[in-house]
Amino acid sequence: MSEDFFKTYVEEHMSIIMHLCRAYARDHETLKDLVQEVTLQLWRSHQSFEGNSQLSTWVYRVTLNVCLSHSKRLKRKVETVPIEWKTDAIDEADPEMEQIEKLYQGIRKLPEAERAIILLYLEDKSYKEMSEILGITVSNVGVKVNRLKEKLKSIING
Amino acid sequence: MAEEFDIRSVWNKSKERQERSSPPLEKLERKGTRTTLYWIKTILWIEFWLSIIALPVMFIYFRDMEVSGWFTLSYFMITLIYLVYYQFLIRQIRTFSYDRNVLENLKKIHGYLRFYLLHYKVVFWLSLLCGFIYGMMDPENKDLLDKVDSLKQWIIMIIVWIVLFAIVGGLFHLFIYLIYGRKIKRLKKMIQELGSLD
Repeated sequence: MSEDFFKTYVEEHMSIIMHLCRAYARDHETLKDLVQEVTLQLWRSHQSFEGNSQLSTWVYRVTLNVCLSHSKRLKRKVETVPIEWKTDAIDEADPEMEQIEKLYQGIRKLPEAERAIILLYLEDKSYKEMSEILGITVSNVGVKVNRLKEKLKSIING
Repeated sequence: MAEEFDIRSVWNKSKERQERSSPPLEKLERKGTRTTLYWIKTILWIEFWLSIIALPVMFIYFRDMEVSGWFTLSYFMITLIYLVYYQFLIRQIRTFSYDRNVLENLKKIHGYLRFYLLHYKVVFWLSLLCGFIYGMMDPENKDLLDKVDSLKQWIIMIIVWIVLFAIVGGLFHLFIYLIYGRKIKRLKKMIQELGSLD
């Protein structure tokens, strides 16, 4: 994979990376750390990428692996305001933003590994691709997705 | 109520918003990484350099204390083997790739951490035992041991040793748990969450 292609590809997927990282970050600092770490690890592994899986599978794998193995030292900071890349973009009276925050709060209440499954479901990944990213069987993915959808909805709806 | 909140459509709305504010690659700050393996690598480097610093310090100590040649040589040989071993562990982490599937990746990191934990336990108890034997061989302590002649005195002494070993061992295990134990527990929990049906 050439350097230029890597840069373009990662930039195109930056929104996805940020989205996934946001579900594991409780504050801006952690979010920035995670995004930076994912980019670094993608860069480190891009030369050894052999094309055995889809490029998107590779991006999801690296992103989730970094998020799940990230040190929780920064977790003690409790985030009380919604996380957005640009803080001035937050409009408190924005109902759409409220819904988004509610969704993220719900996702963050799920255990870390289960969060990865629901994130892939929200990203509209097929069970087969989810199975390749997570390393579990397709039937297991199906069982877990159905259970987690209900769990997330019940968390959100209190 | 559950029907009103369509999680996927809210997620997609969130993505649309995020796309408008995602930073380009150049804008990302280059700061130190904070993955679990990164912290372990840092600890290993600290231990590596401490071992190097300890070499001349111990050499001076052994010379001043007139410690036997074979003991000094053994110490240096073991330290040198450890320095090579540390480099092997550091290299293992440096070349760690995050592009495996999630379950495999978690199992791999879990395996590494358990191995490091075992490594510390072996090093600690071996060092303690060697230190104890070395202490007993010391002429001053030997004289003291010669004075112990009754069974009661032996029992009291053994109990004192056991208590001391338990306190030092307990503190060590607590320290190691704070560094590795919690991380191992967290990883094990995630592996169970993912692989419960596989």
